[in-house]
This record gives sequence, structure tokens and C-alpha cells, in this order.
Amino acid sequence: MDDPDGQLVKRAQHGDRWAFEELVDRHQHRMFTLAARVLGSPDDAGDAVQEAFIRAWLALPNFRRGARFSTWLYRICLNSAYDVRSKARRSEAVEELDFADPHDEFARQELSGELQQALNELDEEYRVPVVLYDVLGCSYREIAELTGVPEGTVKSRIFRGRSRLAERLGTAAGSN
Amino acid sequence: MVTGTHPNEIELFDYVEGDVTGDRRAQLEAHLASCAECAEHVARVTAGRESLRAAQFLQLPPRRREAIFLNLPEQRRGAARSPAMSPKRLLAVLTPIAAVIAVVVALVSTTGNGNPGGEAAATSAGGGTTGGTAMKESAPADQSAKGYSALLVAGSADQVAAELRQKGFDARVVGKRVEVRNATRAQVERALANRRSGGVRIVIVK
Repeated sequence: MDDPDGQLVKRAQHGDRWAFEELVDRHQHRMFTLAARVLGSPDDAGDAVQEAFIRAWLALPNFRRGARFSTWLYRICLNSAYDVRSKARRSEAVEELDFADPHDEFARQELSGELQQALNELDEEYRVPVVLYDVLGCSYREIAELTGVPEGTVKSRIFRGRSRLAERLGTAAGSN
Repeated sequence: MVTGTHPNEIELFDYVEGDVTGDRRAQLEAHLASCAECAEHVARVTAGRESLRAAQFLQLPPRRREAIFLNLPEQRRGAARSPAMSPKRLLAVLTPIAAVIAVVVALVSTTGNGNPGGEAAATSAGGGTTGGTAMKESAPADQSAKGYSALLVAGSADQVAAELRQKGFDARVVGKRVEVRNATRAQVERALANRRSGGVRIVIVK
């Protein structure tokens, strides 16, 4: 598989921080979108992405050639997101942001919309595939690898996820 | 045939995605024309897709990006080792050794010549000084390989670098960022306390 990140990954594996910085720049917004859509909170998503990139840096020497770097990153991002969520559930304290950031505000507005509310109500097994496929544009194969289910199951979950989402949004009639 | 029995989810999904062509597509269309249940299902799935694809991409806030690099460990456990010593690192290792050898050779030659503290000693001291300078110069290069920390401030990279230079820092614009050498993060932060957080990335090379 020809991975567009291949050269940078190779350099970063040997400790080149500049190469890793380029990789962060390439993937940071997609990672944040994934975490935010799965978690529904920009703060938790920010924590998850920070943690995911640090984990990725530490695990890079073990990244095997032949795998797609972005798929590997998304796996780490999802694991970090689940960890952040379980920590947030255990903790009662709510951490306030140090200062207002326009990016936070935009994400907050976006994540308080109807679409995110509908996504939040979806079961995880549907939410993750629809976000990966329809929002991030991942292939069935990548999603199958990420979620550990066969490609047919991925299609079935996207089908049901979209259908349930439309029901919650009440948009099906408009598409006829 | 699918007109008598309902197509399964995967068939309908492939249809919605345009992955079904020819006779099979015609069969599915015939079924959808006569089956309100499947047609409604397809309409819902299509509507769900459109809603999702209209979703905005979200941007990771810059302070989060900065935090990644500030928290990136200097050393990786079991990290892949460089296959060979880099020329800079090799120079940094060899220069002090060369300096010591030069001093020893000079002392030996001075003793051998029976010249107590004459010109040869002065020359060797000069050689030692040269070696010392080289060591000082190599140190930052060596340290730069270890890592850096960064912060983000408002303004343009050129403005920020100019302000830092004016305040006595070794600052230069590299690409879109400003590199500062021989300074600590706290010193740079104090120097730029007048600036708000922004998009110019300052890299402090340790």
C-alpha cells in the first residue's frame, strides 16, 4: 500500500520531531473531528487528540510498514477518546477553559447542533462507522480494520446508522 | 430477483452508494417502485448521508496543538536508534577529543624541545582555544537534536522575530515559525508578554 505519509513516518520513527510535526499538521483536524463527533464535547475531544498524538509518538517505532498511518492514528484516537470519556464519567469535576478561543467556540456551536444531538443518541457501533465514512471519508476496508468487523458489517452499520440518524433529525421526508 | 423479496441492507446500501449497475440496478429500482417500505428505507438512508456529509470539519484549537509538542517526551522508550551517527553529532564528539590530543601533543613537543614556556606553548594554547570555541559552537547543535518547546503568539513571524532580536534574542524566521536559540521559554514568554496568543509558532531550540 502506498501511504502518502510514508516518508514522514519513516523519519519520525527515527526520532525526527520536525517530521512528526508535519504529520500532526496533516492529521490534527481530522483527528479532532473524529474525537469531537464521537465524544460530542470539544474539550474532551481536545484532550483525546493531545493524548492520541503523544501515544502515537511513543508507539511510532512499533508502527509496521504496510499499514496505513492514518488508519493507525484513528485507532489510537478512538482509544484515547474512549479513555477520556471513561475518565470524565468517573470525575465529577468540570474543568473550565483558561480563556476563550474562537476555535473552541466554533466547535462548541457545531457540537450543540441537531446533527450532533442525533449522533449522540446513536449507539457507538453505528456512530463510529458513519462518522468515519460520511464525515472523514474513510473506506469500508479502513473502517473494517479500525472497528474489527467485516466490510459487510461496516456497510450494514452505516446503513442503519444513517437511517436512525435521519429518523431523529426528521429529514427523511425532505429527501423524497 | 428482488421484486418478490426485499433486498437486504447491504444491497440497498450499495444501491444508495451507486455501487450497483446494469441489470441488478434495474431490478432494485423496479422493487423500490413497488415497495413503499424499502423505498422509505432508502430515502431515510440517503437523507442521513446528506446530513452527515454537510457536517463541518472541526479545527483543533492552536493551543491544543502547542500542548502536544510541549508534552512530547524527549526520549522514547525503546525508540528506533539512528542507523549511524549524524555528522553534527560526530563533530560534537570528536572536537573535544581532538582538542585534548592537540594539547597533549603540544605539551609533549614543548618538553621534547626543552623550550620552557616559549612560542610552542603559546601556539598550543591557541590551538586549545580554537578547540574550546568549537566545543561551544557544537553544544547547541548537539542540544537541538534533543528537542524543543514551543509557544504561539499573535502577529507575523517577521514581526515577532524582529521584536525578539531587538530584545537581544537569537531569533530567526524558519518557514512560518520563529526559532529562538540560547534562551528559555520563560525568558521568551516574558519578552513577549505584551503579545496575545495567536498563530505564530515560536520554537525554542534547547
